[in-house]
Order: sequence, then C-alpha cells, then structure tokens
Amino acid sequence: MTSKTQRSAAAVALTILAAGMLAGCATDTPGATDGGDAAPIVIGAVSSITGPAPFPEVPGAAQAVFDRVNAEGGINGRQIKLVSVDDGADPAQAAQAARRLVQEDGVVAMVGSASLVECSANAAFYEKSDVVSIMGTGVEPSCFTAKNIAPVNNGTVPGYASLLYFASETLGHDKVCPVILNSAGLTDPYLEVIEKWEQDTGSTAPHIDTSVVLGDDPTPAILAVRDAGCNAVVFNANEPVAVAFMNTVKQQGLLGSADWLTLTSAYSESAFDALAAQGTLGMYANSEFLPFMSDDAALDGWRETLTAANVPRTSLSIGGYVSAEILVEVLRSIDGEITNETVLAAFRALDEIENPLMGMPFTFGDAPSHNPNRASRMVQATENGWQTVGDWVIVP
Amino acid sequence: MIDGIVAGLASGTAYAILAVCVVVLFRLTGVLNFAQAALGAFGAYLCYALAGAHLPLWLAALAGLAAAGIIAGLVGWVLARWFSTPTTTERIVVSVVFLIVLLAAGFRLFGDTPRVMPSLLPEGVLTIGGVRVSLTTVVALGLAVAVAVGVSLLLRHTHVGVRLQAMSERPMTVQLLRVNTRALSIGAWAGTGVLSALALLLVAPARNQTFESMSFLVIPALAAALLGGFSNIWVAAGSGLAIGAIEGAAARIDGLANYRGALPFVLIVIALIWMRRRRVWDDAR
Repeated sequence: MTSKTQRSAAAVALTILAAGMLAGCATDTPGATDGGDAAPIVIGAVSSITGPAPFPEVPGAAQAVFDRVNAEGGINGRQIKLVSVDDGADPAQAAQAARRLVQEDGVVAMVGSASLVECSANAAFYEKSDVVSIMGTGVEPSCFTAKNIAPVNNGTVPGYASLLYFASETLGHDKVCPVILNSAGLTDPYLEVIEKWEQDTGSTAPHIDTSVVLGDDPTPAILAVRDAGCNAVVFNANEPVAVAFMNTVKQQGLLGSADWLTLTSAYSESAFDALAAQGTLGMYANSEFLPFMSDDAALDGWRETLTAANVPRTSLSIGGYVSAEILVEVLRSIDGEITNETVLAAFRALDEIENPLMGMPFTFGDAPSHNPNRASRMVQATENGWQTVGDWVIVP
Repeated sequence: MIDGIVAGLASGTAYAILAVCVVVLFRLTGVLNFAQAALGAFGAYLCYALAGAHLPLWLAALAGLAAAGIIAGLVGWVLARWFSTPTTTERIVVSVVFLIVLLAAGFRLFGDTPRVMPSLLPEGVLTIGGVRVSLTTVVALGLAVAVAVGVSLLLRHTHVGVRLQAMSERPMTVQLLRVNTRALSIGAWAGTGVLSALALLLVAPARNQTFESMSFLVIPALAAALLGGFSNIWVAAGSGLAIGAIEGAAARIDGLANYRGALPFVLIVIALIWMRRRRVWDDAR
C-alpha cells in the first residue's frame, strides 16, 4: 500500500516538474490607465516574447522610438504609450491579447508586433474592429494577405524571390537552382515565385529540389544540384540549418563550384562565427532592411535610439523601429481627434512614406492585402565579416 | 543511386548506435527510452557550450559524456528507488516525462542559434561512390559495430551480463538472490547515456543540427529497434543503417524524393507483417 502511494506521488511529482519546465514564464505588461492633462495615445503590440522563437527586441525597438518621441514632446503634446503583450506563440493568448488591447485599453493602432501566430488569430478581428496593425515582423503567410495588417519586413517567400533575382540578374548566373527545404504546406508559394522569376527573367532552373525536409541531412539535395551543374543555389534555410547546409556543401567539396544564397535569418553574428569556424565563408543572405551590421550613416538614428533604450541591435529590431517611425509620421499628419478610425483612415489615404532603412517606400492605401517591403539588400559572409553587395533588389 | 545510399549511411550510423542503446536498455531494464537521442544531444550540446567558453575540447567532451551518464544514471536511480517493480504504464510515463524534461531544459539552455561544433577527430575525407564521407562518419560506423559486438559479448559471456539479463527477466528472483539490481540498472542507464552522447558528438559536426532535431533522431532509431523486436542488437544496428540508406537512395529517385521520410516506415510495416506472419499478434507481444 505504502509503495503504491509512494509511487503515485513520485509520478505526480515528475509530471508537475515537467509541466513547470514547459509552462515558461509568460509575462504581460499591464495596461494602466493614467490620466493627466493630455491623455496618452495608446498603441498596442502582440508579440511572441516567450516561446520557441522569441522576438522581444522588435516591440522593444518600437518602445525605444516612442521613448525618443515622448522625450521630444510627443505628438502635439500627447505622450505615446505602448502596451506590449506576450502571446507566448499561442494563438489563443494572441487572440485574447488583441481583444483586451482593442476593447479594454482602447488602442488606436497596433505597431511593432512580431509574432509567430498573431496574424491568423487576429486578422479578421482587426478588420472588424477598424484597427490597423503595422507589424515589425510578420511571419505567417496570413500577415501578408490581410486588409488591415501591413508588416514592414519582406516575409520569407518575397525574400527568397529577391535571392533568385539577385543570383540571375546581379551575379549573372545562368544555372540558378532553387532548393526548397520542405516544411508543412509551405512549398507551393515558393514554387509560384520560382515560376514567376523564370518568366520575368527568361531563366530556366536546371533543377528544383524539394526532396529534403527542413532540419534533415541536406546531402541528397546538394548531390542533386551538383549533378545538375548549378552555378548558384538558393535555399530557404533558417539560421542553424543554413550553417549545417554549408557544412555539407563543404564536405562534398562544392564550396567553390557555385554561389550559395539563403534567407535573412542567417544574417547574424552567431551564424557568421559558425560559418567562419567551419570554413564556409562566401555564403550570401538577403537583408530585408539596410544591413544592420554595415556602417551606413542612415543607421545612426536607429543605433542611437536602441542603444539609449538598451535594446539589442538585431536585423529584426529594425522592423520594430521602422514600423514605429511610420506610425509616428502618420499620427503627426492627423488633424483633430486620434482614434482607431482616424488612424486607419490616415493609412488608407496615405500616398507613401520614404524610410532610408527600407529599399522601397511604404504604402498602404485601399489594397486588400499588403506586402509593402519587397526590397532586399544582399550581404556576403567574408573574411571581414558580413559585407553589403550591390544595390537594393526589388521583387516586381 | 549509389551516392544516395552512401550519403544516407552517414545518417544511418547515428540511427544504428541509438537503436543499439535503446535495445540494450530495454533488454536490461524493460524501459523503452524515448529520450535516448535527447540525452545524447544534451551531452553533445553541453560539450559544445563548454568548448565555446574556451574549455579545451577534450575536457569539454569528457564533461559532456559525464553529464549524459550522470543524468541517465539519475533516471535509473529514480526508477529503482520509487518504481522497483514498475508496470508498463509507469515505465512509459517515466520515459515520456524524461523526454519532455530534457527537451524543455535543452531548449532553455541551448536555444536554437547555430553553434560552433568542433570535431573530436582530425578532418579527413574519403570518397566513396562519388560522395565524400568524413572520417568521423566512418569512425561512428565503426563505433556502432563495436558497441553491438561489445554488448553481445558482455551479455553472453560475463558474470555481470548474465546478472543484467536475469534482472530484466526475473527481477524478483534476482532480488531474492541478493543481487544488487539497483546498481546494475543504474549502471545500464549511465552506460547507454554515455554511448549515445558519444555517438552524437561524432555525428553532430557533420550535420550541425539543433538540439531539437538531434533529439528526434530517436524516431528512426526506435523504428530500427522495433525491427529487431527490441531484443536483437544486430538486427537493430543493421536496420538503423538500412533506414538511412533507404532515405538516401529515395532522395535520388524522382517521384519518391518527396516521400522519402515516410518510406522507411512503410517498409518497416511490411517487414513486421512478413516477419510475424506465422504468429498470432497477441502471442507475439
């Protein structure tokens, strides 16, 4: 009897321990309602701050912009207050957070959100509630097909397309091979942009590889592009997979026989260190904004603002920064009352906003979907670190 | 085709060693360790984290192996202390909880940013069938065979081996004979923990995987162990290599390439039905 009780107690203890480790430490920023002479303009953000791929620096960068604007006197004397909420990469939490922000906190717009799940959870709600969301980092495809959501980043598929155009048009390769590392249901959008790129540029890919699942050993795909005689290979890896992919390329002795190009998440210091350590420099990646590691003077404002607010300076943080700057410009243009309806109307009436960190002007208008940033600047891992190569590549 | 098979064998070595560890532990303790690969990955990642903090590689590797052994030993101790005659459900629950804890802890500690993964062995490349195979892969293959041979000999021809087998088959009898089963089973856990960490340390530099993707190498390994009926070490090791080879070969055949991940499992189902064709299922269990 005792042993049975003991045993169940042990099982319960183990389960609780496991659950505790999984639960994480979701934290919310409570939305206070402090009044004052001029009540603050309340802005919301729903981001994955905890979870498998956290992006705390994106809403952090938006907050840094608002801190600066507030210190300079705010918007016509009114302070901006950002209520940034964590969705823990959980759609239910994201939906709850958006409803609370809109219905209880009375936010006039969403800005600087960076979430794995927010768009599919909230796109319909934002449209119904007449709230606009200028996202810092949109991840899901549904971020780019919603009427009231406009992410300032490219998204993976347009980013991938920019690499194809760069390989054929800027680098001048005639045998560009796309390698698509599969992840559930995301292959078809890639195949569509490959077809469009072939039509636009008159290129024909000698081989399109879809045989490897993201995270698996990429050797079969690499042997296939070797046999097809490709002189440029565009692959859709995330940061760790890009490093593993290049390691296999080197192992098969193909580093010098083609140019290797991959998506923007590989553009990081940790990826560079790993690439350099395994001797696979030379890889290209796209940067969806002005490359954050370059010493371009246009980055000075971003660098100073984020340093002052103690926010990590990453490529993604530029998204939060740019989205907040765009919102500030639009808020300043509004005469009269600032409500979610007037902010949405101002975005609908917007012609375009130039931002030096983006390769094309931001537009919104009355379009049923938005992908305002389809421009990338390419970077290459060289002995002197990541170096910017060529001009902006804009996907038509 | 040949190049695909050779490329696949490289992944197959990892499946094979892990499958051998799974089978050995199952035979000795009756626990199907779903966390076998996660445990190895934990040791390997700890080694790379320490090497990244400028510890000499050999010391970091020893620390990683020791950590994997100690963690596995602790689980063995928990089982022996609180679940001395565990039911099947309890064994499975402990194994699943162990996997979840390791996955969560590993992700918290190591994240998914790419890491510099230095190789334990000097760089060297062999060309076989038009594919370059790294020296570490060949050593890993050798290790898989050596482990299979070593464990078979140990179980069959040594005193400890006989006691270990007796412990899994008749735990009560062995306890009545005053054999220290707790120490034996903790030893079996720790030993397989160290081996799986060593396997992943050999395989990781060629793949540079994330902690999570390394942890799920256990799925093909479990499939290989299943083919060996969770008792035959040789069949398990061979099946691990075969699963890798089939995956690799399928990648080079148009029309099959997109389904290559699932292909070995289809073949396993067919193989199992064939192998057990004369038995009634209830009987075979």
